[in-house]
This record gives sequence, structure tokens and C-alpha cells, in this order.
Amino acid sequence: MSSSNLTETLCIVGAWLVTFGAVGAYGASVILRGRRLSKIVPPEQRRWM
Amino acid sequence: MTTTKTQSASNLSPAPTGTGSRGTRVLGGFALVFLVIAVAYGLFISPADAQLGNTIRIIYMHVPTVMAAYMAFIITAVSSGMYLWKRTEFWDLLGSSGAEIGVLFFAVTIVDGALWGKVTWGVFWRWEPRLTTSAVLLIMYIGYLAVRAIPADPRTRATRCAIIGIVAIVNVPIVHKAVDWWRGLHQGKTVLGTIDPEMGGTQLFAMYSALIAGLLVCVWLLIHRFRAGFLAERASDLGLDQALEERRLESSPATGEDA
Repeated sequence: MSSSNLTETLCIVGAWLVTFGAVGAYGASVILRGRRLSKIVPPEQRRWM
Repeated sequence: MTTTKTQSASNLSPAPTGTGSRGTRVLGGFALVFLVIAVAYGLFISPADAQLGNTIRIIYMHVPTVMAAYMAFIITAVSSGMYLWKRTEFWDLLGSSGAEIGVLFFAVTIVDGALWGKVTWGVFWRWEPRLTTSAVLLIMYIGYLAVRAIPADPRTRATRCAIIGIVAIVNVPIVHKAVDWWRGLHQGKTVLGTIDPEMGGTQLFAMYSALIAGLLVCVWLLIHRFRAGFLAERASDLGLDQALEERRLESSPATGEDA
């Protein structure tokens, strides 16, 4: 594999990993934060529907 | 009366143990389906582009993330305007949730663009119009989040953020039109300003699958982030109530002695 092809492959894989990694990590942090806060807040104040 | 109250209490379903609900689970399921299709077509099934080659696979991530970011910033601007009008916690929380998610997606857009630039232009970054205005836009919304983090009275903080949320949105059309207004390296505007009109078949399918997935994930995140923010406010209220109660108990014995 030539140097330019290697760079291209690394950049493509990197772009997908960055996108899924960043959005996935943020989503997980929001979910965990919600679960942690749910233990503090009384049930009657955390009804969504 | 007692029987009726007991019956209605027993009819209530248990309170959720997080920010999820039936609606978010359905939405998350749809997002997951489109993500799987986007990965399959974007990375494996769709062919390389005649002009862009395999770098089109970066565009399958670049376009959905920027569209999601724009949507989040527009939600922030609308919520900011509504907050200044209605002055309710709902609009403040929705605006801040949109700003945070917009920053996330826009930062990812810039990183993806830089990786595409490395392959196509040979460099990660150029101070050309689209990239420069994008950097300014990102900094403005990071500023929004920084202002939100400054300790202040909640109403004052919400008003400051609402003003920034309205001012910052002006930069979105400037970023979008930068390729038309100034000559730069970034490719010109195409269908909806983002999707190439010459694209067809599996390439177009991959692009639209990724676009729908990106927007669904953005809405899903927005709902969860809004609810987490709502819970944080309630937890903060409880902490304040508890502190006031402790203060009241501390002062009570002294009052008793004085009497």
C-alpha cells in the first residue's frame, strides 16, 4: 500500500471513529448523568409523559 | 375519597430511573437502524466517487454532522427568542441543550473536514472563508456554554445565554454562504447546499441514510440532554431547600433559649 493510500484509509477510518466515538461518548455521559440524578430527584418530579 | 386516591396512585406507572421513555426508545431504535444502513452503504457497499474517490466516505459523516449541528443551533435560537418572550425554564433548558449538542456535532464536522482536507488538499487546515467562518461559529457557541457555566442567578444566566443564542445564529447563514460570497478552497454549494446533484444510486442512498441517522441521533440526544438538565435543576432546588432547612434548624434552638 502506497503512502497516499495509507493516509487516505487512515483519514476515512479516523473520520468515522471520531464521529461515532465523540457522539457515543457524549450520549453515554448524558444517560449516566440522568441515571445518577434520578436517584436524587423524587419520583413525582421525574415523569416525562 | 381515600379509595379513589389510592386507586389513582396505584394506576401510576413507576417513575423512570433515567432520562429514557418509550418515545426515546422508539426513536433510538429507528436511529440505530439508519446508522447500521449508513455504515453498510457508506463504508462497504457504495462505490468510490469518480472525482472524490474513496474520500466521499468521509463526506458521508461530514454532511450529516453539519446538518445536525445547524438544526441544533436553530433550535437554540428559537428557544432563546421564546425564553425572552415567555421567561420559562423549558425554553432555557431547550436552548442550552441545543447549544451543547450543536457544539458537539460542529466540532466533529470540523475534525472530519480536516481529515478530508488532509487527503484532498494535503493539509488539515487552511484559513480560507468556509473554514474560518466555521471556526468563528464554533468559538461563539463555546462562548455560549462558557457564559452558561459562570455562576449567576438562573434568570440572569438564562437571559445572557438567550441573547448570545440569538446573536450567534446570524453566523450560520454566513458559514453556509461563505463558498458563494468569497473565493476559497472549499467545494461550492450543491443540492440543499450540501449534497452533490451528480450523486446517484447507492451513493445517494448512503448519504441520505447517514443524514436521517444523524438527525435522528441529534433529536434523541436533545431529548435526553433536556431531561438531564431538568433533573439537574430539580436536584439543585432540593439542595437549596435542604440548606434552608438546615439553616432554620440551626437558628431554632437559639430562638428557643432567647425566649
